[in-house]
Amino acid sequence: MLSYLQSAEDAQEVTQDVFVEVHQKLGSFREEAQISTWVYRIAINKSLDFLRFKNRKKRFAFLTSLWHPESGELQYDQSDFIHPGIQLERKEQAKYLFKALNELPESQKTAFILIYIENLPYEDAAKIMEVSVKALESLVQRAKKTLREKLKNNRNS
Amino acid sequence: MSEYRQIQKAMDQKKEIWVEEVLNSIDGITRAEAPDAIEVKILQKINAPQAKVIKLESSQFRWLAASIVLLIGLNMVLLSQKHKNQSNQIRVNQNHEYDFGSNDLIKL
Repeated sequence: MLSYLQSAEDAQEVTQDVFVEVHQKLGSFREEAQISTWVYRIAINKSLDFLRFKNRKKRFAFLTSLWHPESGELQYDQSDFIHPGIQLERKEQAKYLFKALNELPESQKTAFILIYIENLPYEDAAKIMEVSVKALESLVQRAKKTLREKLKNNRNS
Repeated sequence: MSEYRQIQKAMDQKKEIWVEEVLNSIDGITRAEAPDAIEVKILQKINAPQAKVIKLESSQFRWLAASIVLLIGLNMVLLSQKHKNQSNQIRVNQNHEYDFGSNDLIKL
C-alpha cells in the first residue's frame, strides 16, 4: 500500500480502513479464495479509491491553497517518495522509479507492484487482480515498457 | 558527422544503463513495517460506534419518493404563482403610469 500511495501518512490511514472493512466483512468472506488474496484485494481497492479521491482534490487544488497552511509544504507533491525498504545505495534511483510508477495506468501499476515490489508469484497476483496469468504477464511487460519510455523522457527533460 | 553519431550513441547507451539501473533499484526491496501504534488505532476504529444505516422498505421508499415529488410540485406551483402575481403587479403599475386623467392634461 505504501508503494501505491507513496505517503506514509496516507498508507496508515488506508491500512486502518482496510482492517476495519476486513473486520466488518469477515462474515461474508467466501473460502473460495485465500484470506490473503481477499485482504490484498480490499487493500488495492481502498488504495485506488483513496488515490482517485486525492487526484480529484488535486484537480481542484487551484481553488484552495497548494501549500499546507501549517507546515508550508506542498500538499500534493509525491515526487520525492523513497520506500523505506529500498537499499541505501539505490534510494536515489528508486525515487525516479516511484515517480514514473505514479504515471502508469492503474492495472499496470498494480501488476508491477504485486510482482516486483510485493514479490508475489504470478499465480497469486493474478488471483488478486482477478485476471489470468497470461493477462498479468502482458500487463507486467507493458508496465515495464511504459516505465522505460517514461524514464527516458524524464531523463531527457 | 561520424563523431557526432558516436557521441549520440554513447549518450544513448549511458541513458539505457541509467534506465536499467533505475528499474533494478527495487531489487532486494524489503517490506515496509507499519508503526506499532496502528494496531491501537485500528482497534479504536473497529470499536467506535458506527453510524446506523437505516434500511427502507420498498413501500417506505415509495412514500418518501412521493413526498419529495409532492414537495417539489408544490414549490413549483407557489413559485409560478408568485411570478404571475409579480408580472400582474408590474402591468398594473405600467397602466397606472400611462393613465393620464383629464385633470392631468389640464394641469399640463
